Amino acid sequence: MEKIFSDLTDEDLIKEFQDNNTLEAYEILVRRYKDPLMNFVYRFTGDRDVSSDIVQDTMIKFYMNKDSYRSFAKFSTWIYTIAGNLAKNELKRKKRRKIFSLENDDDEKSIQVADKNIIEPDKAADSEIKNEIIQKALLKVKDVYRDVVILRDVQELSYEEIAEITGLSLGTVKSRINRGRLQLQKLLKHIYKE
Amino acid sequence: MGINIYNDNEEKFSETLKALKELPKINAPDNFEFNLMLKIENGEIKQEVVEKRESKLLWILAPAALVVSTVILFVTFSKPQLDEQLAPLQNQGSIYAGKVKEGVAKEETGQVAMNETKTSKPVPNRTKAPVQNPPFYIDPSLPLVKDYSVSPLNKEGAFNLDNLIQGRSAAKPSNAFTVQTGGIPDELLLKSGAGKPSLKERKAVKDSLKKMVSQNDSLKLRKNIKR
Repeated sequence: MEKIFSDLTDEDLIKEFQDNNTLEAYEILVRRYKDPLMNFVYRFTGDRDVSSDIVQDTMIKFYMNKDSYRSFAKFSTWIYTIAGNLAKNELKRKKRRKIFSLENDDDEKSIQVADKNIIEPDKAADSEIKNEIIQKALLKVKDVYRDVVILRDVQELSYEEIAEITGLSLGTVKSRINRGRLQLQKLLKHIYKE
Repeated sequence: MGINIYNDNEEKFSETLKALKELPKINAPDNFEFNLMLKIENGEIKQEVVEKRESKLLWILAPAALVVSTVILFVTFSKPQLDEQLAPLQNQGSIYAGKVKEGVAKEETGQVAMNETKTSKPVPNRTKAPVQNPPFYIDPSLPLVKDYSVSPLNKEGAFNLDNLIQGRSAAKPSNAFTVQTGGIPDELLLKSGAGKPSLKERKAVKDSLKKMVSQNDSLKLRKNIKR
């Protein structure tokens, strides 16, 4: 039975889950999307634990609201939309907490320190540190640009898919991606100079 | 899910794009599925659904309650004003009704007769103690209404057309100082000096009398001269 289900497309699986409440179909979809969603949400929030929780919530939402999915849309765009919305909500909550807390933002501080003092040219070549710098630079990009850049350049989705996920027009998606990339390039300028 | 190259600017950002693509893929923790299924089996989802329903109910009920309470408050506090707007004459009527009642009270105490038309001085009742009535207040903004309740016919069964037009009843003497306010006879209104001629009027009468006397004197003088 499992073998048959695993051969099915995402859309067929969700239909099976909708019509017959088949838990196996749901589990297969979870297995297929947990990692891409985790990657997307992590790049967006920069926190593993938070990302894991968000993806769990995404899957729970999918389980609860399975009937709200309509077959004319792609399952991948639907689940990415849920995850993206939850990630944005989490960021908003985080920002609100920052406003009311007296503590300074450690992340931004560490980025500035890393940018100017600590990272030497030979160390910058080190992939791990480089990845860390890129991740921190990504977090410094405006939210509205960050999600589309991640969807395009990290998740490698098409412009049409991104437009569907974000609910924006194709033109807006392209311009936002451009602006996001520009911001990111400015932030990462010193890495490429070395 | 393959990349479709729509953007010409992608070459401009080639280094950035390369760096982004080389980023390591972050995978979900190993116990992700186990935790998820545990949550589903433990009924955490059901709880969430119930909470969601409650919160939805709250969202619907809260504004509804607010609207209802606003309407109740509005109706409670704006009712007298509404009454005034809808039937302003009713309120005036109530004022006059009060005045009429006052008149009746006076009649009972023997101060004023209801149908008395002359502005006579109130006769104190010797058997009953005089009741102190509060002074009347006549709203000057109220419209003047002629009192047609008093018959225009006099004792002979005839009536003076001029008097009727001017609003004076036949029973009233023409020189009586009457104030027709809101259709209430003056006798019912306790007004200071309402029935008495004012100082100016007295002076005018006095002057006219003096004139008459002087004219009379002058006529007598002329007669004497002729003689």
